[in-house]
Amino acid sequence: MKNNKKQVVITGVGALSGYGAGKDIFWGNLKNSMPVFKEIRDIRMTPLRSKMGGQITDFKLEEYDPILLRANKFCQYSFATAKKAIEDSKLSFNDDNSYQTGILLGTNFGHPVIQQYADMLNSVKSQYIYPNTATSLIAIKYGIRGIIMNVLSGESSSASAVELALNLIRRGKYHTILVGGAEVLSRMALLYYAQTDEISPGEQGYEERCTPFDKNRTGTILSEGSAFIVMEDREHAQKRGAKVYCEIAGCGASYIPGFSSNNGGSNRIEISMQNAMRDSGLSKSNIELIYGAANGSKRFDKTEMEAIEKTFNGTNNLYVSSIKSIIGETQGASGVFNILTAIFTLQTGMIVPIAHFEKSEHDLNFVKNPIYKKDINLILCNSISYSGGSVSIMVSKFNG
Amino acid sequence: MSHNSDQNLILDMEEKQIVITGMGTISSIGNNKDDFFQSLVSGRCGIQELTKEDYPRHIPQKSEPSYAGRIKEFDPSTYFSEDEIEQFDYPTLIILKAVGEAIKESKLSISGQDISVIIGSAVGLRPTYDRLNASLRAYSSGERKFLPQPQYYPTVVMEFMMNTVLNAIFKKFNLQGDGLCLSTICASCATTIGLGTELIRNGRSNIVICVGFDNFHPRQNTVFSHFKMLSDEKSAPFDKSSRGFQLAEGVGVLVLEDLSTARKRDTYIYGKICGSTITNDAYHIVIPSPSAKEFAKAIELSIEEANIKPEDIDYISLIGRGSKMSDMKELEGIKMIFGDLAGEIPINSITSYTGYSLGASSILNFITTLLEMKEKVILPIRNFKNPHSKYKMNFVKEKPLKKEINLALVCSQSFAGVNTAIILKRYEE
Repeated sequence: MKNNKKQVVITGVGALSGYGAGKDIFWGNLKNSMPVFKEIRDIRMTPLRSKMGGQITDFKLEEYDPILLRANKFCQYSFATAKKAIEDSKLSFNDDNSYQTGILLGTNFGHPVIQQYADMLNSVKSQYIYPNTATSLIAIKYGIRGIIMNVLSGESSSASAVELALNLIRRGKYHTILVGGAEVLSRMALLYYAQTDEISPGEQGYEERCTPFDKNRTGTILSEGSAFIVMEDREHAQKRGAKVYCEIAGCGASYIPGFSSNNGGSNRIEISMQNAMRDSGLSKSNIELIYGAANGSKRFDKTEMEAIEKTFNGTNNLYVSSIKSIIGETQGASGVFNILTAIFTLQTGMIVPIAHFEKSEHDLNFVKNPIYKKDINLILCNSISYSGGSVSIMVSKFNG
Repeated sequence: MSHNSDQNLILDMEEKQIVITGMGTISSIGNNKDDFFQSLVSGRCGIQELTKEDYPRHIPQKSEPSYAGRIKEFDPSTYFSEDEIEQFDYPTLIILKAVGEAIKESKLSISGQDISVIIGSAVGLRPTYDRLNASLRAYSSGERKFLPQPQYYPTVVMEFMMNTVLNAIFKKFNLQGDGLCLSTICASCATTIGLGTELIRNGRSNIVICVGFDNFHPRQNTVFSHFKMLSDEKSAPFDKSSRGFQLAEGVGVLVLEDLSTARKRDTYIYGKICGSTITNDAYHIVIPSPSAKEFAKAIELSIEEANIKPEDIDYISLIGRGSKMSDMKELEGIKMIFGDLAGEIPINSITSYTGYSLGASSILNFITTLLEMKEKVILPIRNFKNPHSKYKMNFVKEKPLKKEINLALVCSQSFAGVNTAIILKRYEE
């Protein structure tokens, strides 16, 4: 117990992105600070000015399971990553533990909606249109019998799922919850973010790149991908001799409605960060690094910088970075990708920089180049939804 | 503006008691709670034949039924100002009305209070086929201006994202706190109740507004007819001759909170949640597990959590879709837990009054149970005559049964096999 609450740790990790499948490939590319973006293929891009995205191009269906043969990409990607995370955790499920194990999967769009309408008329494909099928496939394959649920709160969905899982495990009914996020790249998603002026390069003549927090940022670059973590009760993990990556020390959430005009945009992030600190029993002076929600958005990055300034006013040695210049905006999966990056940093001591960052209109300690700091213990990860949600997660080194 | 501020924190040592202090509903049988219950008592059915005028663009396939339980006579101008009608679209206004009913009844004072809103829906705000036709240009170009009703949606995507509803609820009622949207298909709304309970017990939230809704659109009839579950004949849950069911839409809203905060206000307390469990069959993506083992487990774990025995249960509220496979599974699960008692405890379902409203059904039966507890009566299963030979249980039929319910078991099911079992206790001072 810590802070009068059960400790919850991460014992398994899985990732799938434009780099390929598996955590090692993902972490390897973080190490080299290698952006995932390539020219998008097989999607009609006109009239978009953008050309780039983090697209998955080499998905090897044969490595997974025949159960996926009729499924759509959303189900395939989610399943693939959950499989890797479960194998990584070395957990197996049987009558003793299947009811105390659950799956929470967050997504923004799930299976693209126009495709859903087309699939509705097909008696096979219509079974796979809802995101619940993805969680169900995982449950069926591994015999997981507790709660299986989808969080559909926009871009912060998987972070929200982490917060829920933390509460469920602390409550005691569940000792293991697989938490993940998945997002598929589609023409509709690209058009949508372009129409709301969120995608780089934005106006004519600007460079297509993703540089969160930078003064001359021009928008974000979308990526598809899936990331899963196995969250587990600390005692349960230690009893079975599990390898522990880190601890989820606390979470906080807030919702303030508002869209383009963003009155209250920074408030919700301030509140979720404060709630996360209170929940963990740790203070702002313990936090050494923030991996932000910032993705290069002209309007939303600003709100996060304001929130960080207000909340951490006067705190020294706080590094601020964002992984999205490298992995892109994975929307519903971004919350868990952030955690995977935090784990990477805790293990290697390397803080992932903001690629091509030059300067910002705010005076925070932004990470332009990789920094090596072996004694980092506590990282705060933020995730926001464009419609008004904010979730903050405290990831800490596990000291037993 | 702080979440869970110290004056609201209650000692972790004491187990919290989760009660329901406000309810709201809109469905095919009534646009408020009282009308809803009156319709049930008088045996009124909300399922009607669909006409070409209702959905002019829909082309029904051969085996598709032409019936549904639609919400009727909902005139937004009765409940909302012109400004509000311009700000929120029609489906959202319906949900807001039900949320307003629940908040008003609970006498919650909103200002300075942190409130969590959890929204559950099987299908969400997926627009009707008519709207997709009309909106196709908008979806294909990403341009909001091509939407038929752009004034409601800051972006194209908000037209079909559940966040739109979350946004609207926070704005209309000026709430502060946090919110999330979830789905476990047909058990979605019961899941919001289960999660809300856990979050209050954990001290993470003080007050949770659970919102469950599902809209009807005829494409759903097409999809479900592939699985041969629908029928044009009257559905009769648990009846051996029932050939299938009809789909419907509905909204249900509950206000959940800890008893200690409820007591401070002069508000009616409907009941207490003593046990709540969610399991899934892990069997097939659509077909429920024939063994009903996982559903039975959900009931078993809830009974254990409530610290009672099966014989303490006075009444069981099931979904009762009226399709053989799911009906049998529900009854098999009950039989596994209750054994011989299964022949005595009264069982019912309201689905043949309202139609099967997907996720909303799992909150409508919950609301019905609390109203039955209050009025001390159990409603009969509409159209029910003869049970299957294997499941001769105490199905309440033909006329309402006067009964004082102390402990009720409320269950729900979904495709992909999610099961929920919640135990409710009548509240006494």
